[in-house]
Amino acid sequence: MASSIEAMESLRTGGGVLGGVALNGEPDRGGAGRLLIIGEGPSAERAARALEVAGWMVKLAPPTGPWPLADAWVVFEGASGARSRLRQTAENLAPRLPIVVVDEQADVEQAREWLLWGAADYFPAPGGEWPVDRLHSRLEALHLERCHTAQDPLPAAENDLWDDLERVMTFLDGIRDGVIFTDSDGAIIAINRSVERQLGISSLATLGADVESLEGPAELCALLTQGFERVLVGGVNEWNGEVLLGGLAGEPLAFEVSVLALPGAEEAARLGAVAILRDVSAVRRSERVKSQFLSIVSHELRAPLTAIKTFVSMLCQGRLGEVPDRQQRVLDDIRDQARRLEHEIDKVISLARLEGEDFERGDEEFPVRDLIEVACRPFSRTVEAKGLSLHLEMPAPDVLVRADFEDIKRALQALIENSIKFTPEGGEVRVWVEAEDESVVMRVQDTGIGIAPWHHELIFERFQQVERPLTRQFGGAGLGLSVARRILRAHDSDVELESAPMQGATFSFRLPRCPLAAPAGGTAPC
Amino acid sequence: MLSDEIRAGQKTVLIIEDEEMIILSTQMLLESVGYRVEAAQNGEEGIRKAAEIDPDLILLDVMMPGLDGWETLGLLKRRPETEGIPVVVFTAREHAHGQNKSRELGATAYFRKPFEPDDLIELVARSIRS
Repeated sequence: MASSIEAMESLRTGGGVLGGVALNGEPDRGGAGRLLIIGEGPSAERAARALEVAGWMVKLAPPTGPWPLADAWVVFEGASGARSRLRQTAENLAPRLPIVVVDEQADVEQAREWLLWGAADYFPAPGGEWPVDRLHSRLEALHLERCHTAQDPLPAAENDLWDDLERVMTFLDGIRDGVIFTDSDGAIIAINRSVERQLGISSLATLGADVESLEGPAELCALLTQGFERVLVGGVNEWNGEVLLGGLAGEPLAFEVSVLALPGAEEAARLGAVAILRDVSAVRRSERVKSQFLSIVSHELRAPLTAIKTFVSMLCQGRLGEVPDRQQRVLDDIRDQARRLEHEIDKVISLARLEGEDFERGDEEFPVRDLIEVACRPFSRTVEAKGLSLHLEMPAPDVLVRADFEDIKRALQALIENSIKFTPEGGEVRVWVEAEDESVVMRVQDTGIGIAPWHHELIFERFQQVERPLTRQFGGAGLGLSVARRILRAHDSDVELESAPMQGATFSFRLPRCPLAAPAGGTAPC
Repeated sequence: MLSDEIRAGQKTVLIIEDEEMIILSTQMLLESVGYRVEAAQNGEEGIRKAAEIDPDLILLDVMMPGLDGWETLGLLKRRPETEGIPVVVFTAREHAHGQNKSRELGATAYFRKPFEPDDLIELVARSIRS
């Protein structure tokens, strides 16, 4: 407040250097620092040249921006035309960047406002004649003060970061992704043009502001804040998130946010962080179209498969007359292959459905015994052909769980199929259930080749197997475990894995147990 | 298999389904255990036939041209002459709310295609009007 009073006093007495140090005589021409003059017109250009002669590295920026960071800014009020944005920026940056205002009008009210907004000084320039010498002295004093003060919020390393940023931002303004740099306190030090479009805000007005104060779509800003907090306070090096926003024309917008730490010289120190905002709406849209396509195609495959399965089962069971032994074996194989095809189609449909916008899981109570019996049925011949033993350990008494029967059946089948696939001849696959007070734990355990700990996450990715695709000896598209995990996550559960190479694997998941006793008999409920 | 036939008696199942091969295979399966089977290839024909022959069970597909399975089910349950006939909805397409929707509209069961023939026989025996 004191400086604003001084400003008015000074104005009344015919102008001068306000609220600071006035140096008499010739200015020191020994080189000062980087100066940004925001303004245009002949008087601003003249002043720029004069200050350059005085030793400053001067850049003249138009009132509409961009306004690169410098050691000090001079705002030419008379020509600004972007007052509200400048005001916001000045408020944000003033604590760490000296801003001096030059005004052709010599308006007391304007002086008061600028000083209240955080400007370091205000110089009247009647008739467009800038008081260059006094301006130079004042700027130099402010610059020295900033460089030497103990509370300088911009230590050397951070200053370097600012220097680099100025160059980097020239390029980053040309890319589609939004980029936001903050210092270690979460104050925005650079922001590129794409962010303006993505958040619908002025990137200039946010300079110096705290990340938390960003304005724009609430969910996206919340995600950004969360990301910066995890990196700057939580200590993680990288954080990723995604958010879906309702678009203006009803088409949802999807944004991927990655926040990365900018490491400091010392271990665990942070110079700041950078967020990258990527509009992935088109990618997600194409995924939705793909899911719809898969769903339709799968339906078209299921219809003929229904007829094939029914016909061949009738033949296998002798419902249409006695079948000679050799033909019986062929028919059994056809039926098994039809079941396998059905199982593969089911996996694709599950994935498409789980990724679909309208996904909603069923919610029903069913006995665990029914689930295990139905889930294991397709594997009897595979197990026999491979020389494995499949042990089913049913709960006694039976227990009820609450879930989507078909989905959980598919998840369990994916785990069983995986165990069968990776267990060599003579091995064992065991499906067993442990009933706890409020939940039921289902386990699929095998004596197979096992999985190294560093692959425990990889195997749940789509189309992934631990082996390389061209050399692997086990078939399959690598969809099963991914589908199982997605199904269980949709049930607020997850697949747990315990395994080590050559020591088999145990996959388990948990479902909520229902308190009532299981009814006798019955298959998939309505 | 003999017990299936005894259970089936001479009860009638009406299949409402637009896929000819599914009608044929399901018809052969159910006839092999002693049911009398009638078929309709769309919803309108199905509603008419249901009123005409008063079947003991209807197997109803969802994805059909014209009236779809849900609309057909709604109409069957709103008409006095067909409201008491048990309906099993069977579908090859995943429906986000299929299970709940079929229950709300009054279906006895919701069944997915392809099915295990033995499971269908079991379900028909359980769901048919006694």
